[in-house]
Amino acid sequence: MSKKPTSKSAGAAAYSGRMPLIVGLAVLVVTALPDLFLHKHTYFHAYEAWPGFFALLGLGAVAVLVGLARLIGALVRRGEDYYG
Amino acid sequence: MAEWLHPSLVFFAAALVLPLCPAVARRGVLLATPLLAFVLLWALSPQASLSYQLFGFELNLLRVDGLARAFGVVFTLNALAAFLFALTRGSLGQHCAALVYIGASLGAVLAGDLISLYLFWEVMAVASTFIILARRTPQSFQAGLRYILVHLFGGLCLLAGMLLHLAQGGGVEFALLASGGAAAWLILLGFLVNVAAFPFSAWLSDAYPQATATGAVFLTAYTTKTAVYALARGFAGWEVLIAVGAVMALFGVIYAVLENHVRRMLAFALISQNGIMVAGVGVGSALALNGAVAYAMVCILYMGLLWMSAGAVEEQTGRSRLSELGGLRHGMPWTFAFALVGALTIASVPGLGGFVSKPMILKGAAYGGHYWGWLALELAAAGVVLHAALRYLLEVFFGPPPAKPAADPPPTMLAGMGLLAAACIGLGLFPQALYALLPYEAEFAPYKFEQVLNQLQLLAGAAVAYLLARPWLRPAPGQSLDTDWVYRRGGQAFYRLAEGVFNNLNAWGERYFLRNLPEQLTRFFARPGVRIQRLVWLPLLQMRGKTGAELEREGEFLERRSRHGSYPVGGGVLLSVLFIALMSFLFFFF
Repeated sequence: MSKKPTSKSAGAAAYSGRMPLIVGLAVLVVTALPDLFLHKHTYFHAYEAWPGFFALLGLGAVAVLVGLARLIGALVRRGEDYYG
Repeated sequence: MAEWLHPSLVFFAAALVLPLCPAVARRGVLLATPLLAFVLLWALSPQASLSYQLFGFELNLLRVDGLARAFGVVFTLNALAAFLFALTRGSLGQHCAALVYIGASLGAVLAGDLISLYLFWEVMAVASTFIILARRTPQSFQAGLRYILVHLFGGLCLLAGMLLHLAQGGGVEFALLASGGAAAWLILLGFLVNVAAFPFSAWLSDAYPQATATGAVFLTAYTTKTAVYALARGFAGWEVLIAVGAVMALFGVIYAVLENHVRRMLAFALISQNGIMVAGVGVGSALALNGAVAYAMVCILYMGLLWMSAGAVEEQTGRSRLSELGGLRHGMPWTFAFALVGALTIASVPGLGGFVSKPMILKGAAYGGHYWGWLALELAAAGVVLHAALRYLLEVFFGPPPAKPAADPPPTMLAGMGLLAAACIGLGLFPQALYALLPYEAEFAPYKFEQVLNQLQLLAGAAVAYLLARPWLRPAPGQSLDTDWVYRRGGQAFYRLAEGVFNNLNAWGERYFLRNLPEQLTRFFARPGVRIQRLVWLPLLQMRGKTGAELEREGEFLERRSRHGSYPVGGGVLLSVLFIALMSFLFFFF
């Protein structure tokens, strides 16, 4: 996924987003797999029992929040010395 | 245990004694005070009370029920860690202000009536302002002034609500406020200012990052959590709080991800987490209230830990912006380790304090049927990766090593962080210790397979989304406009308006009353006779058709006559006769 330039050091690889991304994806897959064999409980709607629903919720939540932040950021970001 | 020995009293006494101690003994006093207060609090029985008379009311300084005790315990224990952290770097003034501040917040939590609560509330506001001022920079001074003004506004709302409540015969005891009258709404407004509810949240992100690295650690723990306590006591089950909390939780995330200043980002994270607690209070079921209390207790610990690590980074590197930081995990391994514990706790990773407390609120909201509230809280729970959980760690501790190497802070600061990290881990592993302190009866078992799985999925999904979106979220210099724009820009505009109006009025007044008027009066009274004649006689002549040259001649004639005193006798006699006639008339007829 990541197309950032990477250097030889592990630190730079971590910064570039590759390592955490691989770890994140691995955790996501490993924790979503048991959903296929579980009877999951729901609070409100049947779709909460879908396999990997909470992973999707996390993905979607961050996507929505980042989108909102970009939108609001465009409106409210100012220079450091805005108030003089 | 003697009931007159109120736990707050220990803090107040320590604040008085501290300046008199030699420097070596001060450290002992600072560490002994929270411990002694904790022991005193622990020894108090639930029936304890400490009554006094004020304004004709029977007031109570001690109410040690489950709710008050839970907050009191975490207040005193957190104070120990915070003083350990501040031991070597904090100034004497800051230590004294912190002692008074903690004592007052403990007093507010233990107060059984509204008047005592209000008194402690205001002491907290003043003492915390001095902690902000202790940085002694122009920025901290200005932020401190804005901070105290906002808190005085909140305090006045509380006072007005309280007086109205008393006038309506509501009673002085601080208990659940049932009616939705003006009194209750004003009190609620006062509490919401202190809990940093949007739109009254800007004071927090404005002022806290301006305090010193050690001072801010105190601030993050007490003001907002005292307000969470007050809401849980007075407004449990007020459903409007679910909306208020949801807005806070999401607002905090969005502003945190925009922020470049490390501790200001953590300030927005704090607002976001407070929102989750406020929503829990709004749900109002035993489970949700227990969750709010438990999460407030855990939040004090991990927020303190995160602010300590960020403060240590700022102290050791001299840099406070994400865009200028990175790669510190090699130079500051201990700080990194403690920050990691704090970050994983705020993310509610299973095995740490957050996981055994926050899900109680979410579950409470779900059981209560509050779909939108639940969804907002899940969004905020996933949004932690955008601030304290992942963004903070990646931007500050990962990446290429800094040009100027940095080292871990002194051992006492590490010890403070270590204490809080141990508490975060300990509560995660042994949640029963936490649950034993919770005030209400509610069943909750955190470590169910499905629950652990769901939480890990949520965090992994959120982390993956964040890492994919990260190229668009690089920290950039700048600041975000917040609601304080209203009073910061409004204040500047008001100043300019006032300056324009009053300075102009002043200048005009000076010109006329101090220069022109005295000048004219001097001219007039230098020769009053000729002036009066000129004022009366010349306009008359003008009306009779005399013009420029003739008038001037007449004026000169008047001047000459008055200079020489050469008035005709007849005129004087006529005036005398008229005067005597007038006097006789008055004498005979009145």
